[in-house]
Amino acid sequence: MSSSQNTQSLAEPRARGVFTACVLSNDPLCPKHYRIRLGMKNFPPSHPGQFVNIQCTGCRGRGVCDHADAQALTWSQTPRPRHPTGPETIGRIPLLRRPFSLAGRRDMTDGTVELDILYRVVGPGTNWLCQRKTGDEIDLLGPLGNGFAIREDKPLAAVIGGGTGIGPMIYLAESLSSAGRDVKAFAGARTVSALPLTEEQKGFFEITTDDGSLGQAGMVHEAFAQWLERDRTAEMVVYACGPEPMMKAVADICTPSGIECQLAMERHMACGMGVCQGCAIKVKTDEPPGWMFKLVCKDGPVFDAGELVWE
Amino acid sequence: MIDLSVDIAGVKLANPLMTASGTCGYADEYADFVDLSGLGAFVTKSITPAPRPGNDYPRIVETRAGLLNAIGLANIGLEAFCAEKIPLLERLGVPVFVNVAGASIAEYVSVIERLDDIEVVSGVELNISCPNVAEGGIQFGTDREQVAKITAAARKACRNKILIVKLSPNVTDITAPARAAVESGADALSLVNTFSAMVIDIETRKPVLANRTGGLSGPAIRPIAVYMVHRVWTEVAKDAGVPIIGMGGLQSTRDAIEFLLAGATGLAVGTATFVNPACLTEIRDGIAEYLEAHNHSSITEIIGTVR
Ligand SMILES: Cc1cc2nc3c(=O)[nH]c(=O)nc-3n(C[C@H](O)[C@H](O)[C@H](O)COP(=O)(O)OP(=O)(O)OC[C@H]3O[C@@H](n4cnc5c(N)ncnc54)[C@H](O)[C@@H]3O)c2cc1C
Ligand SMILES: Cc1cc2nc3c(=O)[nH]c(=O)nc-3n(C[C@H](O)[C@H](O)[C@H](O)COP(=O)(O)O)c2cc1C
Ligand code: FES
Repeated sequence: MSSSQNTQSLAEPRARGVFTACVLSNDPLCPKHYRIRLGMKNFPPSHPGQFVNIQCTGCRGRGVCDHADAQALTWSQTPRPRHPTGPETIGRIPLLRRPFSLAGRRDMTDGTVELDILYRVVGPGTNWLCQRKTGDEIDLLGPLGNGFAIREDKPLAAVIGGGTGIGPMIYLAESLSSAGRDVKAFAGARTVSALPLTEEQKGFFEITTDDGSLGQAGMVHEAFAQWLERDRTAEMVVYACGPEPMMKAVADICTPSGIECQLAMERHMACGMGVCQGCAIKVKTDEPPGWMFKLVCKDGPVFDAGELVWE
Repeated sequence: MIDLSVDIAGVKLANPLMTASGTCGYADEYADFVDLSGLGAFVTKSITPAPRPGNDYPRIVETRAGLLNAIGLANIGLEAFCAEKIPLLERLGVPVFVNVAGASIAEYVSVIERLDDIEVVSGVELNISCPNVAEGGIQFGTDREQVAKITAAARKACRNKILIVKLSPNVTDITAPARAAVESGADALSLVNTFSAMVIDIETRKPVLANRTGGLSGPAIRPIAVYMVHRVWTEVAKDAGVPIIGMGGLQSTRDAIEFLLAGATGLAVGTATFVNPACLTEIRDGIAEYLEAHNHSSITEIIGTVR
């Protein structure tokens, strides 16, 4: 999480870059949320909590790889499009890339990679994304940011996702489980029709809805607190992503009990690469005035709950 | 072979493409995405004498075809810059221009004096879109006399490097500060910086940015930037033999050619690199293709040739 580890020397292999991804599927999970599955010829190592920046504009033509089976993909040989020198066309809308957390990754035997992203349609960028069809190509930059820190010394992990924040928690829960660790997973949503989980995934999570339409009625941090009181058995680490009030509530449960709590934060971003200084977040320091700014895209998005200054 | 090299007041650039200050970091932040040794020059984030935390959040908001920012010159400060970033800049292998900012003339001078002995630095770019705190907060760049004063002071401090003055576009007549800068010793001009602007959230009825206002960049400002470059070129810079580094919404080869025709010798790209850092070298190659297709052997043949 320190900022210095991101300063890569020029000679080291590239840990991130711009990639062309092929849409394998793009299906609604509930009326507002979609899960898009992307096939990539290759992709650098990534960790739960990291994100990618998608260029939600233009279209790299359809039908270059119109099978949903990653093994059978034929990869487009067309180079990245050149900048046209002809008359000015309609402006790129949206202008900037949009950040999305990775919600899953599968590495295939032939070296290709499948990435999942779970997203909520809120504006022009996500609206563009939800219209992509199987076989469309997408321009993706990443992986960006730092993932959740895995604690070898803590046998139990609680994973808490709220709303769209459930996405990165699926990736985290999957990789913790496949590493043989004990995981307790919670997912919360306003109502059942806003819960972005597949039927299969629903079985893995302890579910709460505000209106009680599925699982326990109430907020997800309340379910977590009840479980903690009842069943907490071992030294544990807590991971959460969701709306800021939910993450603050989780932090307020963990901090007094001395439980380590890592949160994936969000800020509006222009670059995602640590150059624009747009995604500032306040963290505590010992020196006056007692806080400083860090960058969510480069120093985060995962922060230790104890480090954050809540506003 | 097409000759893309340009001369910025004696500094030889392999091609005109450079990074716009504040949009490409201090040194090698983009190294994973673009071959930085293929740039004409690297321009750093604004450096101030002491570190600055910058403005409160939110600092950025996207607008139609534009980006509004109020970063507040957040930077690591002169000492950390020299200790941590200069060694990285030395490895880039391209000329480096360090952008300098301050709240008083003395602050600018102190940064320039320190940079003047550092070998890898080829030039200093004065960001004069800062309020002069010592003189009641008037922006240096919007007042003719302030531009003259700060340029003259910087000129004295800047003995071994070229002096580039980066103009603020927030003026009625862009040729006035341009002329003041040239008459006071600027070796080159860069324009434009961002346009003062505001976005209001209609539900909360408050400005979106914590700073209330910010600077607009991106494709939305390009035609105004091209116009300003053209006016400064024809009315001030051409006769004075002062090259212009053109920027503002530059996004594609087409836009780059437009700036060159308007009178720019150098080209800087800011906001567009957030989407694709490699556009810096893609545009460079696109210019060569354009020149070849139009039977030119050197880029200098088209500079300022709008009919
Ligand atoms: C590190 C990170 C990870 C993210 N992961 C996901 C994810 O996995 N799934 C998902 O659906 N969304 C995620 N987001 C939020 C997502 O980036 C925004 O919803 C998206 O940019 C909106 O774009 P738009 O053009 O559709 O809407 P816009 O019109 O740009 O925005 C619509 C609404 O979304 C808000 N918004 C816009 N940009 C951001 C942003 N960068 N961060 C937060 N809110 C924003 C705006 O304030 C506005 O209310 C993430 C954001 C960050 C910073
Ligand atoms: C996020 C951001 C930060 C910037 N920071 C600086 C800065 O520190 N100093 C400076 O002189 N200009 C700064 N600029 C202005 C750019 O260098 C450039 O003049 C302007 O953005 C227009 O070019 P563009 O449309 O290609 O971005 C900044 C612009 C942006 C978008
Ligand atoms: S989004 Fe640009 S620095 Fe974080």
